[in-house]
Amino acid sequence: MVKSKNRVIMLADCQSFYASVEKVAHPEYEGKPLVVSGDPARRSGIILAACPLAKKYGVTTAERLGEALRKCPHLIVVRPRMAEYIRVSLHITEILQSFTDLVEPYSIDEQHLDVTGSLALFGSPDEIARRIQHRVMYETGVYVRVGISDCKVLSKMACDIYAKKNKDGIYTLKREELADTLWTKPVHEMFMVGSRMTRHFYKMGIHSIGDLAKTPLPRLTERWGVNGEVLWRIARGMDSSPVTPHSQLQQQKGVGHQMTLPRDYTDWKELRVVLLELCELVGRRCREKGLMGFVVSVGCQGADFDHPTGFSRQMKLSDPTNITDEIYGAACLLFRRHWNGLPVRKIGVSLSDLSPDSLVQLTLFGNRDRKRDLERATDGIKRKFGETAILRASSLQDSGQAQERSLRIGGHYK
Amino acid sequence: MSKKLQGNGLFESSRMMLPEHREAYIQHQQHLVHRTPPLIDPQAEEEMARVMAAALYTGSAVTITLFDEPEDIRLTGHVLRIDAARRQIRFDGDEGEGPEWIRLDQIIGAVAESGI
Repeated sequence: MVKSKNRVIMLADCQSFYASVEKVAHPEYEGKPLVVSGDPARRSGIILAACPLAKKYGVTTAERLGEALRKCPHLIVVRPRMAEYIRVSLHITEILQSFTDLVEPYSIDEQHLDVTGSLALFGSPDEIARRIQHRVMYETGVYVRVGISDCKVLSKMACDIYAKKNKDGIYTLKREELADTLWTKPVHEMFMVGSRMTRHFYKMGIHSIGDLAKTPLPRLTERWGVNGEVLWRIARGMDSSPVTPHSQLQQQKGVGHQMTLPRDYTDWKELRVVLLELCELVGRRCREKGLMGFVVSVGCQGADFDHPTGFSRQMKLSDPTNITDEIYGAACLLFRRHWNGLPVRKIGVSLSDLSPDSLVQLTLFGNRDRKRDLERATDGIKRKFGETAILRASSLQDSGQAQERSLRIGGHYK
Repeated sequence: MSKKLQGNGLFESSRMMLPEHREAYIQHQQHLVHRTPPLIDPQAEEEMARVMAAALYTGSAVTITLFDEPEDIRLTGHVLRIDAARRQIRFDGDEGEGPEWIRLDQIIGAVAESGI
């Protein structure tokens, strides 16, 4: 299970990432509490990140902006710039890659690295961690905390439980000392344990991570199956996952886009406008990557999550495609067949079973060459002049979302 | 055995990344790998020579593709001279940067603009 040679694995975590990036970009806000919030104009917007100063006032991530302003009326509210955060995150990836080629992003602000092979070049793990901290601070202004251990889950917990709370922002969790360190910590601080799981564990008499590690495995697997075993292994620090840059990140199984609509759509005439926009996005991404897909899936959901409505269905095409019209044709067919007419709030289209588009079977019917030429031209215009340089006329209708969507990443402003 | 218990399964299944971040990361990784220039088939080479010669004599526009890191460069413009001895061409791009010499071995594709 565990490799004979001890690895040295780190997790580098950026402190209040979005807020830190904004503070560096706006030196005038130094020493003032700052939050990044979905839409500063709306008090119902949510806090995406709060700087350490704002956190001192009791502001937490994911709470409503109105609430945060009540706790701290002079709070500085900034709207998100997602594209910038992605750029900074990749800059940090690049810095980490100057220490080892084994770097794997876990989220926008957390990345694992395996420095086992770099020790001879850069010194002890602590030294490497300090150099990483220093360089990231110098080049991006972001403070990173580093958890060090010999596997990914322990490095994650070294960071979350210790490095985030100590003075240096660096902590090494040694396997030999688990009984005196990690195992004394309450179980809710463990990686992958949420509030619901904590409640279940308490009922079973499991209070600390050590209690969980000493619980016989069958007691956990008979209740939670594989997930029980996953948690048990995390508690014991059993983890052989490699740090790999060639993770599933790079292979693509499908290309999909979905969007949450600004209001409920109930009319097919409105829905088909957004459906076409989604098919256009999916088609374009596939064309850009040189891929074609065989299977079109369509899904939709109502606004009320307590009474879920909607469907998710897929169909196989007669030939693989990346032509917008053909994807749209299949999506419409699926939608008309399965939609029960109830209001729709969220809608998505995806294309899967992908293959390279360098080889195509000639079809007897339809005029694929013409469509392909047309899309090559429109894709080129969009690449050069921006997403909204050329649009379908239908997107100009009130129900169209293409223009609004082009301003956002992950639902937040670019 | 479940996927979560082997390989990188635990982290693959719990990773949280925006699709845009993912795309940008993939591009970033691709730029790290050095590309090798494609081997050009003699017939393709002949065809490119023919296209460029035709462009030189008729004065029509061509689009040439140059191999470069991290990605290929595409230039549209006119061929002013072909220097067979030095294996290079004098090329005037539409971008308005003035004529320049381009080595033949850097060119991996040539298409006549009027031919499309």
